[in-house]
Amino acid sequence: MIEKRYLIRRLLLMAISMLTVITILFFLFRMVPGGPMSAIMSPRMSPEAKRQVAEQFGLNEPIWKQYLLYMQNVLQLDFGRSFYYSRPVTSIIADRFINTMSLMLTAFLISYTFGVFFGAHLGWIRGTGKERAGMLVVLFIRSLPVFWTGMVVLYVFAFHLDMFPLGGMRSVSASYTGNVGKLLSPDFLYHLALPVFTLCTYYTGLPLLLMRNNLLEVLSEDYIDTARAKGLSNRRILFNHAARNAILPVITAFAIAIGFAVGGQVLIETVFSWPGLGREMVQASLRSDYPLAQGAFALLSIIVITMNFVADIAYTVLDPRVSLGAK
Amino acid sequence: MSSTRRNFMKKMGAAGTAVGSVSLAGCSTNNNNGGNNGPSNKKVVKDLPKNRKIGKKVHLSNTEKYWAERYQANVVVDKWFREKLGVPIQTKPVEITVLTSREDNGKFDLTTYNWCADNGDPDGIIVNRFYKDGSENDYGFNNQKYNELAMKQRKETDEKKRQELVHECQKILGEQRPENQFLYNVYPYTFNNQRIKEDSTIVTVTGLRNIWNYTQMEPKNDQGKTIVTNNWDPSDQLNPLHINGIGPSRNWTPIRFMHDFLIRPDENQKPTPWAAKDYEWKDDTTLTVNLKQGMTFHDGEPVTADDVVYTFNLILDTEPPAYTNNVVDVVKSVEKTGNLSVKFNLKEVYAPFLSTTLGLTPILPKHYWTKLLRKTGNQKTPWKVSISNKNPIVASGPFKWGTWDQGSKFEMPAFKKHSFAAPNIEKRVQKPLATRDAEVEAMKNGDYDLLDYWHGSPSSLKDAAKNTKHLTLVQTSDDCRQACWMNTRNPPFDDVAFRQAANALVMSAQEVIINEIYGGFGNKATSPINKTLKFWHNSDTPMFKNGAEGAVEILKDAGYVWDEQGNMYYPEGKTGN
Repeated sequence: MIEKRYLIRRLLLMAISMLTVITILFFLFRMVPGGPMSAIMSPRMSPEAKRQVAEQFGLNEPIWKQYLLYMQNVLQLDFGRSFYYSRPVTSIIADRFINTMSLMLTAFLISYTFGVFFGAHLGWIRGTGKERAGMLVVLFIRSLPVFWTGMVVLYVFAFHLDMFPLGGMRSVSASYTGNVGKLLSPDFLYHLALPVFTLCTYYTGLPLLLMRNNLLEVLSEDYIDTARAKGLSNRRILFNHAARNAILPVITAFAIAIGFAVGGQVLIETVFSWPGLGREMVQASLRSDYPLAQGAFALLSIIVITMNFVADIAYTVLDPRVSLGAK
Repeated sequence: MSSTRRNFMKKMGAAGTAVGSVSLAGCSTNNNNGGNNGPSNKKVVKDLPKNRKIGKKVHLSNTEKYWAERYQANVVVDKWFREKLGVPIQTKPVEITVLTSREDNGKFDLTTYNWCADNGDPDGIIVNRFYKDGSENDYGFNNQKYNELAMKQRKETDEKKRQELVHECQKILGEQRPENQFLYNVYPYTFNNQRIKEDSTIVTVTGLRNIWNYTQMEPKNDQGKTIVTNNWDPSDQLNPLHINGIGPSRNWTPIRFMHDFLIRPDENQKPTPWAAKDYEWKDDTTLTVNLKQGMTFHDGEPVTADDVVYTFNLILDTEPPAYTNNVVDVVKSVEKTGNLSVKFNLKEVYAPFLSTTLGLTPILPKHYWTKLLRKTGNQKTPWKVSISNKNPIVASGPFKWGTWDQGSKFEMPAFKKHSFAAPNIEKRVQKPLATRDAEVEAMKNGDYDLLDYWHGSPSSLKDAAKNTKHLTLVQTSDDCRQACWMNTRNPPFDDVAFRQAANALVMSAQEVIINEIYGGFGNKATSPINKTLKFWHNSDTPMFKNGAEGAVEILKDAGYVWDEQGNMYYPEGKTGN
């Protein structure tokens, strides 16, 4: 249950948080040494031409004026034009966002499904040799640096066995129209396989361990004993009674992970030459491409803040005992 | 890292590149008093005043990640400055945006770059970089005699006389030494010899990445009809009027392939008619150009004088910053004198006109760009048009716009109806990969057919080609130089004698830089104009010899002295403040 007043207060706080983050981003990028001039100006240009370009981008204005103009535009959902690409920031982010989300969402869905299921299983068989072996494998894989796993996977399956592509999102001969066509094409899925597999090896650990630990707690509850006394099957006790209650923290973790997914996985995107938002954010920061960097980081912050809120709401739906704002 | 470089770093007392960098960079602070390893001919004086001691100097460098060899060359040269001459120069690696920004603001003592000639013409080097008001002269170099000669060569239409002036300029630069070259680059490239006929490839200063190669290269089989290549960074801007469209080669190469130009540099970098059938100078400021017959744009419309006039007038009217130096400041007017002929009236004599104006200005189709500018509302700012699959390039060059999935793939089908340069291949595809290792593997397993760029270790590509039967390696020297520039406003770099001494030191370091750091992929360099530009390069450009000992002699004669710890001091009466 959610109180109306709580909801309004929460929405207001979210808006304030977002504006604060956008303000911090604006000044943070301008405090970094260097500047965007090298990305938008050629050394061949005369000083007069350089001045003209700086004027066009508003870089000659005092910083407070630049800030006011930027905030005014942001409130109208206009994040400006990238210095580097000379295209609207929203269109660049949209392109990269689809690439990143197709990679990250696939990996998260597989990881969390697999993690929840096997976490529950490991919790159920606690104390057995199989559980200990399972935990050892999970902890070992989880402790491997993801970029290293990616390089090993690439070396074995692409360089050595030549079963998968070396990187990128599409083959030279592949042709499809539109994003839906792209996402559903076998060629895209073929390119997606290795990076998703690598990410899954890393991301499965968290939901699996969370699920296992929560389940251990839930299994000691009285209602589980009652279920057993009623003669219910192990499968029904595990999935209908225990797992449903143990899954709540995993939902929170999933929601936050989805928020951070927007930032992509820079290292994985680099290893697999995946043109995603993570790499673009890093590049935009290095190039001092203020509009693009600010836009991308703002999007990341907005989604993280929103997903936190969504996780809170999801709690009340999944667990009737939870009520937000009630005294 | 190549084994040669690894061995080199070991010799330098470090276990690896990263450790080496830290260790060497660390010397700058620990070794301010470390000039005792230097030559014994130093003039040592006791009780020197502190204000004459040469203080810490900053050598701005790119990061090791950006260009490993160049960074390491900087580390070595600075170490030699400290250890052999007692000048505390510190290598400061910064991101490239920081580097250029500090350079623009004059906040540096030394900086190192790789710079090339403009379409084979020396004017960009002579004027832009070293003339007192040159757009790239961030180093404050100002020599009266040089300034006169630099502007004189720009206005000299007699090629032989201009050559003499350019040689004279190099002589002054050699004596004055605002620039000390590390090397002339030699780059390796490779292609798949099972798909491309070996004797059909053409290698120029840009390696295999040139229009002559891409139009004449012959496929051996069906696989060779589509040439897949890398790009040192994905193309980001394909508007030919945008500064980033004509600047970095990641954009300029596809733009150059999709457009025609009246003039193009030939295989030896000499300006040669391309879309122009012929041209004639009526006087020093009037040029008439006749277009070739039968040329069409990719949409089938004929290329006429109207399109050439439209292109230049569009630039003159809207003044895109990318074309300030070579069109707006140069061209007074352009007139149509016939269906296929135009007349250019220049504001004043401009000798590099063929190379840097006609050779760098693409012919835009009037019918298409008029519509495009109206549609996007960019009539006054044509360089702001976002070129994309929705607003593609329509031009007349040997390759057409295919599809562009930014960051992933850019396809350029061959324009088979090109009237005189139709490519033999069917398609060129740029498919960037994020790492150099992946690029080599893509060559080995046949995902790539040709490397347009190679920014990894030259030796590793050489090894890969040696061990892979279907790979052929080609090596070529470009028209650039890796060089170190000194801020001639700051002491001691404002002193010609100090710069000459620095040259003696750098010249002696060239062997180490070329052989140990670059693995032999480089040529000795003495002049800002690379020897690949045979006609313009002055092989007698003065240089200073005998390494550190020679440097000490020059410095001693100029009054520099050393204390007992080996630190260098300014001549009497001069301080660093």
